[in-house]
Amino acid sequence: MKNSTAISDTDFSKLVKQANLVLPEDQKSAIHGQLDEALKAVDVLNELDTTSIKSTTSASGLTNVFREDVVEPSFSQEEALSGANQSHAGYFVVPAIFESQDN
Amino acid sequence: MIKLNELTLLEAREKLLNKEISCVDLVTDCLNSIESQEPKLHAFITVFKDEALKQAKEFDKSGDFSLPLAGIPISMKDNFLTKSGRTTASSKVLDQFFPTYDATVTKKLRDAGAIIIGKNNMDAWAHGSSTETSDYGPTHNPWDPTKLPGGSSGGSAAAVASNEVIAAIGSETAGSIRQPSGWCGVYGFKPTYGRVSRYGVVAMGSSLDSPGPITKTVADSAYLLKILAGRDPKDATTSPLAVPDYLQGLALQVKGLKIGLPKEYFMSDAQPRVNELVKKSAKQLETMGAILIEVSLLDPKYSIADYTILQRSEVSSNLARYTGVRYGNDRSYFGEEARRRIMLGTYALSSGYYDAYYKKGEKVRELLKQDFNRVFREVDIILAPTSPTTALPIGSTTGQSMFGELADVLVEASSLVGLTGINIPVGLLGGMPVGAQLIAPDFQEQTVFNTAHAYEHSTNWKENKV
Repeated sequence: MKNSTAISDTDFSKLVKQANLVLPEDQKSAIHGQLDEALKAVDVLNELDTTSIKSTTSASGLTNVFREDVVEPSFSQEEALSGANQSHAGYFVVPAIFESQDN
Repeated sequence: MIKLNELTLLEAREKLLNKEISCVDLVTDCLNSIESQEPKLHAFITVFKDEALKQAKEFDKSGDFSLPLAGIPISMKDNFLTKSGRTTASSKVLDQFFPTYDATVTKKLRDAGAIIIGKNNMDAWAHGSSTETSDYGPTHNPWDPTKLPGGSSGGSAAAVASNEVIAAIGSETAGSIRQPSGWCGVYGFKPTYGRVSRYGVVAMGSSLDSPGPITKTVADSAYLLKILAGRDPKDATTSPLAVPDYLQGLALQVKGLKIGLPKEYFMSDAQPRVNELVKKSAKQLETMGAILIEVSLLDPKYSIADYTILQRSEVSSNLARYTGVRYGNDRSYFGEEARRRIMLGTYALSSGYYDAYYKKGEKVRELLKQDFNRVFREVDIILAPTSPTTALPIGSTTGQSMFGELADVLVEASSLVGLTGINIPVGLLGGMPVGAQLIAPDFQEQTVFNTAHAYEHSTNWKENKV
């Protein structure tokens, strides 16, 4: 089935990175296959002519919903941090995104 | 004597108000029902036993049942945030998540006096139509535990069908209230998008998500919706339209009501006799004065494809926030179905593919809207099967990446358009419930309630056996 895939292995690896996922090695080829299968299934939409159709982003039809910018009581720092796996001095600890100069 | 957990919401309310029953007895009967049935059903992720009993005692002590849901035990799908009460959305990513605030729906229930007795199992992140993708194991159908309850609000539907609770709250993105209600033989109401606030509901498809009630009667749903609905400053997509008193507006009158039967929804490859039972329910309404009109809608295969693109795209965006930094576990905890959906959505939104997939999807959504608008110029309401089959066996989803879409084939189009609808049980096929859905234009909830109510009172659906 390999040659019928719509997404190349390189693009698939890029996509995994974009999606911020780490896929177990033994699941990669199954997920890749299912992705191709899903893309093939949605191709059916090309049977519909939409050239003169506008896009609908929402079913509500509401536009420009504004409110006054009023300051209201919010969570305490303690509450906001209550679910964090790691916190330090009242802050969330996040993974480093810059490499240190020693590297 | 009737076990109190078997009461409908309005019956329980009347008995509490008249002091015929105590709130502790009502809650205890529900807790006993949960305890005895859970090993078989697994409709709950968490039960707030001590808290529920404590609240019940307080109600009995004060004797004040004036609030609209005073002392009524209600369960909620586990994607509604409950302050300090574990909320997992059936995903191990949120295994130990204790929210710091209530969802608007949770708050409205609490403010109305409801006792939130527990949190119902669901497909993880509401991704599915089986409750089998739950990271905590599937819920089993109360009519036959070897069968699926449907999903994603499968735990809520099973809990109501088995009388574990008086009523439950579910949420629907495309079919997740109506389809499990169909497979479990209960009433599941999907409000118009924007009628009920999404604030504090673990987001799935933000342009689609609609919370709603799952109940034992139509009147119970009508009563609950008035409490749940309304504009919420915390959800800008909620409608500013006033909320009517749906229960007071309930009428058994369907004379002259034009009911459209979309021929494409009575699929030729549906399970034999499902269509027959649903058509029988239409005939029943005809004998009461409704006018049946055959109509034509776009082939449901297009709504499956359209929903797949749009929903996966919104999923990839909504689930991007789960990084394990602020709360919850890291992204390695996502299950197979969530990973699949994130991947497809990321692809559909990525540069170079956006126009071919997401933008095309949005245009088809507009086509679907025009399609329903055209039909609603001819008819007041649409009646069709909720699902082309009765409940499928446990295990049916294994390796089926499009299972949900196929089980929801008949409910996805109306969800994409944001319409309101309901599942009503209309008969038993081989001992399993068959559901019909009613679909009405935006904010015509009352028409849905009235038609469903008229049917419900004209027949005992459990006697329609084939």
